[in-house]
Amino acid sequence: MGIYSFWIFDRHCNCIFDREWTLASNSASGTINSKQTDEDAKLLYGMIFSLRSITQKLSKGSVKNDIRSISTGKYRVHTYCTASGLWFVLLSDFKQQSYTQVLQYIYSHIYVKYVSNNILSPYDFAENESEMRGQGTRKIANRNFISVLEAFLAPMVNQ
Amino acid sequence: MSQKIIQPSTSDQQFQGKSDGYEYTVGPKQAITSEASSTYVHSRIYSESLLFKKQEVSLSAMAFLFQEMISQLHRTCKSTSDFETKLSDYGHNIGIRLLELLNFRASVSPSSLPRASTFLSQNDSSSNASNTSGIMSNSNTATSSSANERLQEKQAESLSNYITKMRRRDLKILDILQFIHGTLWSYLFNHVSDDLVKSSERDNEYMIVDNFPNLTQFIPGENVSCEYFVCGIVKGFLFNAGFPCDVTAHRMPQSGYSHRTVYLIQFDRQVLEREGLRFS
Amino acid sequence: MAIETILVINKSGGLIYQRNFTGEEQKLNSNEYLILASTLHGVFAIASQLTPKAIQLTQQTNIDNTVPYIPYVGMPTNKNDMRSGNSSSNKQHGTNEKLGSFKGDDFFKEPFTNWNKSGLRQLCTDQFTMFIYQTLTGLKFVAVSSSVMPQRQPNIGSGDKADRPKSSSNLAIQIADNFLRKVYCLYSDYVMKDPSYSMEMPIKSNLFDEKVKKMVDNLQ
Repeated sequence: MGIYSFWIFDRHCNCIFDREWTLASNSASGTINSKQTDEDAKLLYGMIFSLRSITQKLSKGSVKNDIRSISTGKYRVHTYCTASGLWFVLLSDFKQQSYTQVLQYIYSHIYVKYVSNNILSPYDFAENESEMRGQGTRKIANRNFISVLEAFLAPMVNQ
Repeated sequence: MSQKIIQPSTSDQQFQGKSDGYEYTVGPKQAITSEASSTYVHSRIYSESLLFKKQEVSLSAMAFLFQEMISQLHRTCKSTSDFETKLSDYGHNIGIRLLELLNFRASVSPSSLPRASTFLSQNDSSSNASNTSGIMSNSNTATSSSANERLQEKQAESLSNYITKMRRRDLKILDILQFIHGTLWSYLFNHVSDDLVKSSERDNEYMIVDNFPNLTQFIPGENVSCEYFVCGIVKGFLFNAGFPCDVTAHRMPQSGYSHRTVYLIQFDRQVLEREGLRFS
Repeated sequence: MAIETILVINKSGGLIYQRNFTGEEQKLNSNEYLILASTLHGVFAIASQLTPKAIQLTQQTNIDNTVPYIPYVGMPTNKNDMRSGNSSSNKQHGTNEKLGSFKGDDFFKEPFTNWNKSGLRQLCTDQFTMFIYQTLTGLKFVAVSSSVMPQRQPNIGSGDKADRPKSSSNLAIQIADNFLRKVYCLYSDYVMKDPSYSMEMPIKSNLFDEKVKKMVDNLQ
């Protein structure tokens, strides 16, 4: 199986989009924006957040030292952080190495196109501006965004 | 045999198989299985022949034992000198016994050794992993009691059969020191000591130098207190041979040998007097 | 692969050894390193909680945790002489002087199982790569290497990603595992056999320090 799940976090530490595949044979399987994955999302965010604080402490000079990938014996986490504080996270199998370009592409060609450029979509998914604790949040339910993203990621699922 | 033995000291299943490197699990493993699978076999350590066999002790095991000795003493002793004296006493008892054993073994002339003897060849064949040879033969014999008896008969064969003439006791200071430098060191550490020097300042002082003390190689720091175990062995050895003396350890690092240790032997005055009377 | 830092973290998440090999000033003070160690320890446990459902569903037991033996990682560079005259020169080489209680010219020569099955193993960032080796007893050896995984040129035009290369990053993990396992061997010699060492406490042995330094130098 090539990729297992895909997540987007916003600058309020909330998960605003998640997609998890469960069957390698069927790229339409799995969940989109599921409530069940809330806990996983928090753990994933926490893990990346902790490791980011480590790597930034260890960084040399003033350059920001961002995480590219984190791997365990079973899977690998790829991250891509944007200047606006969004995190694009992809869980893939252990062997694959760099999905940075894929994440970059998702951000620049899919997210920006179908979410940022969409006047009807909220630019901030928190329900109010002072929201910091991850309580009130919406998820990206934009149909165009989801279908394009599906089409883009589907070939990688059973790679 | 069917029981799987958990070995907490190894982190790796791989090591339970064969390995061509250092087999630190094989020895204890076989010892346990042989005991578990058969009725208790009496230790033959007292009836075994004194004849020299190549048997190695696991350095790790020895180092752990030594480490525990050190920390045990460290807990009970109040001062450094107290610690050194006690550690030296441990060695002293070993040294006393070693004099007898090594003298005896050195008396066997190589030509009189029956090379074709069955039990020797048997040992040779099983001593590929040399440290397990004794245990291997043990577990082999445990399977059939008749074979066991036969072997015990052979083992009981006395070393004295091979000795035509006992080695003469060393009477001169230099002779006994040579014996320590060569035979004792080879027995203990598998190599001769790196140097044997006579002090130019005092005529009762001799020095044995070891560039790389085997036993204390894992112990960090400049402290030589742990070397007093070897000092004790040398002291006991010389004491039993009739050369009462005092042995101290000093660390003298040289390039490449940060652990280089000098064992300083100070003979009592009476030893020198005796030597002067007899040999001059 | 140049090693910048080696950390040893005990089974309860305390930092017991930390050493920089770059010769630069320490980036963090000792307190910050302690925090770093315990953070890693915590994240390590979280990572195993996050195993994707797809893996849990398929009950994949075919993930191979055996790390192949890579010869002479971190060993002195005259290894060619030693390998050719292996049988004859081994004795006179005084193997004890080289590898403590380990016999032969290398610490081990077989592939081994990685016990770190679902915890954190590698962390790639823009500036360094961090490797973690966990022993069966829960001790963690962490190496920070200055080498960075090569970043692929963007080849994303249309949509087809089928030719995405199965990369060689796993080789780096294997080398790191071999290397850190040897540090573990050193630990078992120069720390565990040191009478003045008490378990779970910071390592102060200068011998361990020297040997690790030597091994890191050999790797470069």
